[in-house]
Amino acid sequence: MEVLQRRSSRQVFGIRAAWVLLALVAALYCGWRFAGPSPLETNLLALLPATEVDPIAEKAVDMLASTLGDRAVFLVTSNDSDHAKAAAKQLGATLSASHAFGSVTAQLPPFDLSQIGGLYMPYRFGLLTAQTRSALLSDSFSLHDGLAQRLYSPLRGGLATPLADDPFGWLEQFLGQLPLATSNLELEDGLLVAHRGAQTQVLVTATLPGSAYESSTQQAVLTAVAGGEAALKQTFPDVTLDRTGAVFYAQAARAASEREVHLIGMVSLCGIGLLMLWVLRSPRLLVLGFVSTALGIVCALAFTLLVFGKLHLLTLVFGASLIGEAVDYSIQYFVVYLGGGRDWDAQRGVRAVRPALSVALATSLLGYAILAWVPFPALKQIACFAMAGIVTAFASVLWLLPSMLVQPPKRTPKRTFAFAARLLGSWQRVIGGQRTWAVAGLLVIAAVPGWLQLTSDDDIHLLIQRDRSLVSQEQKIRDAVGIDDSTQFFVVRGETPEIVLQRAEALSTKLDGLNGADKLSSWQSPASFVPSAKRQREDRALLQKRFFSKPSTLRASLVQAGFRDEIADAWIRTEAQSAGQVLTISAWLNAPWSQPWRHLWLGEVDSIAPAYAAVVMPQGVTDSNEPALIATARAIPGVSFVDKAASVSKLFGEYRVDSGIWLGGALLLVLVLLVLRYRLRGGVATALPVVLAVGVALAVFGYARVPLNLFNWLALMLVIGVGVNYAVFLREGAVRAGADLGAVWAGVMLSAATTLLSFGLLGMSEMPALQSFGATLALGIAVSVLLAPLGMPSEPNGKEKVKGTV
Amino acid sequence: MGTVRLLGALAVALLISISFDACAAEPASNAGLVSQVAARLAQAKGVRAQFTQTQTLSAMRQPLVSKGSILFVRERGVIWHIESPYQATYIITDAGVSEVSATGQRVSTNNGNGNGMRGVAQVSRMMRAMLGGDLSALYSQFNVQADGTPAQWHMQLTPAQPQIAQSIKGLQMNGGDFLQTLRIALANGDTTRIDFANSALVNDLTPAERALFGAP
Repeated sequence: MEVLQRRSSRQVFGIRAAWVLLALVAALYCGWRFAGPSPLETNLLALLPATEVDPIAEKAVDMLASTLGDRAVFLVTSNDSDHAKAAAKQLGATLSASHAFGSVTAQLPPFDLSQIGGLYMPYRFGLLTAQTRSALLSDSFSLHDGLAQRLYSPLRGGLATPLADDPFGWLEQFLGQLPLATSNLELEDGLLVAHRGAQTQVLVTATLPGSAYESSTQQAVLTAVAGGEAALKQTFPDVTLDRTGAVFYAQAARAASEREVHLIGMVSLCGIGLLMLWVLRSPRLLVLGFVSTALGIVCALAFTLLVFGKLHLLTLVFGASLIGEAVDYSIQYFVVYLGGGRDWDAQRGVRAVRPALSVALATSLLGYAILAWVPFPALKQIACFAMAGIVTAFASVLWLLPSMLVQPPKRTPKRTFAFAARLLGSWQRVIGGQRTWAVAGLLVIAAVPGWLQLTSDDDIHLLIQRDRSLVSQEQKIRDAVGIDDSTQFFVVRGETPEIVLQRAEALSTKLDGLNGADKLSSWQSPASFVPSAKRQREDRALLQKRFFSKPSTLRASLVQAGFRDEIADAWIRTEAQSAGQVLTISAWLNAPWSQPWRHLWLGEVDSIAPAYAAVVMPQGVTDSNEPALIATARAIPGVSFVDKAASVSKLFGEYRVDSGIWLGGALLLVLVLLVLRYRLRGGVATALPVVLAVGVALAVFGYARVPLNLFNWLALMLVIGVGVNYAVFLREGAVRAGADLGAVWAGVMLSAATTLLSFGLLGMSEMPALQSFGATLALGIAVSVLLAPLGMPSEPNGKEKVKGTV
Repeated sequence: MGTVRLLGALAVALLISISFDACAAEPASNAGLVSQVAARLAQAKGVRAQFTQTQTLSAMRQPLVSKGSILFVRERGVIWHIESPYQATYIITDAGVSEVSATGQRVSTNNGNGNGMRGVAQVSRMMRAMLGGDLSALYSQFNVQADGTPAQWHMQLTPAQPQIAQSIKGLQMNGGDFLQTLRIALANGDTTRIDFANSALVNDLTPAERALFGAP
C-alpha cells in the first residue's frame, strides 16, 4: 500500500512537472516573441483573403499597398492663408525635428521644370502623342501649317520646349499629355496649396523610417504628430490638422483591439471568477479552473505564433473570449469532484467525466475545423487558436487536475445543487418528456416568419473596420488633393518590361475608346511617361518617312517660316545623330522627378519565371463604368482589373451561400457522432436543442432585421459545435451512475454562463466580424442551454435517481 | 514654362477689359491703383479689341508678327482669332482649349489626360478670382508695381514664385481706359509684345461666338 502510494505520488509529481514545463516553454516563447518586434499584425489588409486569379496580380496588390503604406500625409487648413502656410512650415519643422519620420516635406525645394523636358529631349524624335501621330498620318498635314500653329498659337503646353530644339512643338505636345498632375494643388511659396472657398489648405507629406505596422514606428509617429498638433494649436488656434496614412489606421486598429482585449479579458475573468465562487464555493477550485484555462490560452497563443508567425488583431480579441469556453471542461470535472463525496478517487472522476468531455471536444473541434477551412487568413488563425486552446484545456482537465485534486472535497454546495435540481425538474416538466416534439413544433412555427425576413450583407467593412475619424480626415485630404480612393486599378504584367509597356499602351488605347458613361476622367500609366520601344521606333519611322527622308524640303519649310539657317540645320542633324536611341523605363525611374509616380512601375515581381508588372491608376471609376473596365482588362492579355473590396465582398457572398450547405453538413456530422454514442433516439434527442437553437437564432436575426453575413453563418457552426456540449453534459450526467443531477445541471448552467459572458462581450466588439460572431454565439448558446433538457434520457431509472439524491 | 505663356495670354484677356472712369483722374497709390483697376473688371461683362502681336525670338531671323481680334467674356472665356499670317481661332474656357481652323473645323481640343488642361484651369480660376475683385491670386504669383493715373497707367509684374521666374522675367502693361500694350519678357531673352486697338465693351455675343463657346 505504501509502495503504491509512493509510486502514485511520484507519478503525480511527474505529471505536475510536465505541465509546469509545458506552461513555462509556452509562456517563455510568447514572452520572447512579444519582447522582440511586436508579433501583432496591425495591417488590416492582411485580413483579406487572396482574391485574384492571377498570382502576379495578387502580388502586385501587396507591393502597391506596401509602397503606399509608408507614406503619411497631413493637411493644414485655415481661413487665413498666411496662417495655413506658416502653420504648415511649422508642422514640417516640428515633425522633422522629432526624427520619427524618414523625411518630412512641407516646402518643396525650388524645382527646375526643365528637368522633365531634359529627360525626354534626347529621345524626342521617337515621342509623339496620339493626336500628333494621327495628324501626321493624315494627308492634310502641311509643314507650313504645322509651323504656323506652333509659332502663332497663343497657347502652349504645360511644359514649353525651346523653339530651336522643337520647331514643330511635337515634344511640347508630348510633355503636355504627361499625367503629371491630376490634382487641385498649386505650388505657392514652395508649398502645395489648395484653395477651397474661404479655406486655404496646405499639404505636408512624410515618409516613415520603417514599416507602418511596426509598433515602435507607430508610437514614434503618434507622439511626434501629437506634439506637432499641440504646438500648432498654441501658435495658430484657427488652424486644423488632418492626417492620413496606413500608420494611423494600423495604430488606431491596434489601440482599439487592445482596449477590447483588456475589456473582454478582465470582465470575463471577474465575471467567471464570481460565478464559479458563487456556485462552487471553493477558491481552490476557482484557482484550478483558471490554471487550466490559462494553460489553454498560453498554449494556444504560443502554438498560433509558432504556426502563423504573426497574430491578427481579430485573433487576439477572439482569444480573450475563449476563456469562457476553455473553463467549461474544468467546471464539468469540478462538478463530478464535488458530487464525489468522501470516497473521492481522482482517477474514477476522470473516467466518469471523460466521455462527456470527449464528445464535447469532438463537436467543438468539428465546428472550428470548418472555420479553418474557409480561405480567410484571420478565420484560419482564430480556428487554430481555439483548437489549440480547447485541446490543452481538455488535456489539463484529464491529466493535470486529477493530480491536483487528490483529497476529497471538504464540503459540497448541497443547497445550490438542490436548487438547481428543482429548477431542472420544473423546467423539464414544462418542455421535456411528452411535450418535446410539441415544443419543437411551436418553436419552428414561431421561427418561420423570422426566417422569411432574413436579409444578407457582404460588405468588406465586416472584415476591415477603419477608424471613423481617420476615414473622414482621409476624405478631406482626398477632396483637397482631388484624387479618388485608389482601391481599384489595373495590373499589367508581362515577361519583359517592354511587353508590359506595350500592353499598357494597348490598355490606354482601349480606355480612350470608351464612351459616354463608361469613360474614365483620366488615368496614370507608366506607358504615358515611357512609351514602349516598339512605339518609339514606329514614331521615329513615321517622322523619317514623312520629313527627315527629304531633308531639303524640310529645311526649306523651316527657313521659309523664319527659322535661322543654322537652327534648321542643327535640328535636322540632331535627328540623324539620335538614330537608335530609345528612352527606357529605367532611365525614367532614375530621374529624380519621377519619384511621385514610381509606384506605377512594380518592376520584377517574380524572378523564377521572369515577370514584370505595372499599375495603371484610373480616376473616375463608378459602379456603372466598372463592368466596362473589367471587360476592357479581359480583352488584353496580361491585364487584370483589381477591385479588392468588390472581390472580397463577392467572396463573402459566395461563402455565405455555401455556408448554409456546410451548416447542414455540420449538423449531420454531429448527429452521426451522437447517434454512434447514444443510439438513434438518444442521438436525435441530444442534437435537437442545438438544431432548434440554430433555427431560433436565425429567426431572431430575421425579426430584428439584422442582415446576415458570412460571420453569422460561421458562428452558427460554432453554435453547433459548442452548443451541443450542454445537452451532452446533461445527458452524460444523467446516465452516470450515482451522479447528482442537480450538480450536473448546476455545472451545465455555470459552463453556459461563462461561455455566454465571454461571447456576449465579444458581441459588443467594435469589429463587425467579431461582433457578428459574438452575438450569434451568445444567442445560439443561450437557446441551446435552455433547451438542453430536451436531450435527457427519458428512462424511469434516470428520474428515480434524481429523486433519490434530492 | 508654357503655363506662363498661357498666363500671359490670359492676362491680356483680363486686362484688356480695364476701362477707367473718365472722372477718376487723380493719381492713385500703387495698391490703390491696382485695386481700382480690378474694381473696374467686376463691372465689365466683356471686351473686344484688335491686336498686333510681335514676337522677338532668338531662333528666328526676324520678329514674327500676327494680327487678329480678341473677345473676352467674363463668364465664358476668351476667343483669340488670328487673321494673319494664317487664319485660326482658339477658344479658351474652363473646359479646356480648342482650336478651330479657317474652315470652321475643330482641329484640336486639349481637355484630356494631360497637364496642359490643368494650367488652363488654374489660370481660369485665377482670372475669375481677380474678376471678383480678389487680387490675392495675382499677388501670390507676382509682385505688382503700378504708377500713373487711371487715365494713363503703367504696371510692372515680376514673378514672385521661383517656379515662374525660371521661365518668365516680367510683364509690362500700359493702358488708359483699356489695356494698350502688353510686353512679356521671357527668361531666355525672347519677348512678346501685344498692342491692342479699338477696344470696346461688349454686352451681347453674336450667335457664331456663342457657338464657339459651345453654349446655346
